[in-house]
Amino acid sequence: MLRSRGSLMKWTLYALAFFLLFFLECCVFNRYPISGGVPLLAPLAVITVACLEGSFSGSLFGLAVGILCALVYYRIGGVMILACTLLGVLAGVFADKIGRTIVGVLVSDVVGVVLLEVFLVWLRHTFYLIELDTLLAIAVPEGLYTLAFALPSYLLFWLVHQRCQPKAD
Amino acid sequence: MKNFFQKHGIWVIIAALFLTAGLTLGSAVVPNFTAPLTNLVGVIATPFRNGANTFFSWVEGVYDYAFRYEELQQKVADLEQEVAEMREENREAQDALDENERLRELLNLAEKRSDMVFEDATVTGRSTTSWESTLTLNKGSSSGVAVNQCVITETGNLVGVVAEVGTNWCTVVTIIDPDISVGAVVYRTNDAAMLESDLSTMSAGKCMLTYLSSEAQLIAGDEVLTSGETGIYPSGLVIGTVDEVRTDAAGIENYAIITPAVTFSELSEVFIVKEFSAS
Repeated sequence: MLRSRGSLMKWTLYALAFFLLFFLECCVFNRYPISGGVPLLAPLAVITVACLEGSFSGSLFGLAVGILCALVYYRIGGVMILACTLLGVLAGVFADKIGRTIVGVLVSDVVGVVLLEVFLVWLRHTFYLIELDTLLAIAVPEGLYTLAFALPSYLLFWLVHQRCQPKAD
Repeated sequence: MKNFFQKHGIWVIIAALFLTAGLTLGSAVVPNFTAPLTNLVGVIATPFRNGANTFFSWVEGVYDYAFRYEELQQKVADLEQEVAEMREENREAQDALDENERLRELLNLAEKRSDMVFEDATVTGRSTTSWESTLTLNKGSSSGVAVNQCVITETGNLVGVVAEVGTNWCTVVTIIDPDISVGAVVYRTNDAAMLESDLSTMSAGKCMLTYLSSEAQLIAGDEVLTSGETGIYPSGLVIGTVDEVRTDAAGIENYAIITPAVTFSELSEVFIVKEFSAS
């Protein structure tokens, strides 16, 4: 993947764009929760990058982001590693089917965030025996708050993608 | 999908599975399994958290001044009224020695609780997900902070307990987090109970008083304090006030909804109790 200097440049810019989103998630938006929910911008970044770069690159990006989330998020354990990696794979495959257009990426964001929230709710319901009503009361605003950033996230990574597109000539 | 497997993507998934299983099992078997890495990330993140906290506090201050001036003026007037009422109450309390003693203890904690060794700290971060209620402080093991030390405000209101410690940071689980469990006592009736929380009370910014005896006659406004029985929390710290008393789904046990004395979103400075006398 990092065969050329162009690739290295592209993934460095992707990483910087990701850290910008992650900084906003961990230091800014967590100050202003809506209905008890704060946005999950890291998984959203994984979905967007996977849509733009394909499932293989998306899964590697998801793996790296998942490791970071596992270390930063409190009391989430290693689950985010698997969740982000699978999100990367699925978003890449899904985008292959419906196209890498802005609509395709936004639809992938919606599907990905819904899947992630369903997975996290299932996990907490099954292993921590928390009632579904309670879980949904937090997961729904969290998911909606996250999706509010789908377009800005897409534009940010799309700019990197366009900037690092190989020249036709 | 074919493309993914052609590029040996299966190894990425296997790596993710191993890391997930390793981290989950490791954390279950070995306490603080990821502590060195978490500490490293925390140390790197601390300057960014501090910077963002300073900047956004300043922005909020400017915003409040520009757009909420009248509201703030009203708040000041309300607070002045409240102070006047409290002074009046204080005067009335002169003839009740016990009451007076209690008020002194609540309002002048540091003087009364000379057994406590405090470490002042600034709140630099808040919960990173919707599933917990935590605060990140700018003091860590280099300042003598350790896990299970309790955190209070300057007036002796209980904030929470230190759950994770890094070199120059620590994470505090607040009293509305589902992980919390504090021995408590209702000041008026002297009923002992346990302070707990779950996700639904947490999202409403409240907590619960459980294991209440069947004879407990609580009323809204009753003050709840720490009992000091677990040894983690000093006794006499203010937790909050009773909102309402409910009966559980089985109709057997009563529990009370508690409004914490602390407004977590407005906290900026707190004190970590590093030492105290259990007696």
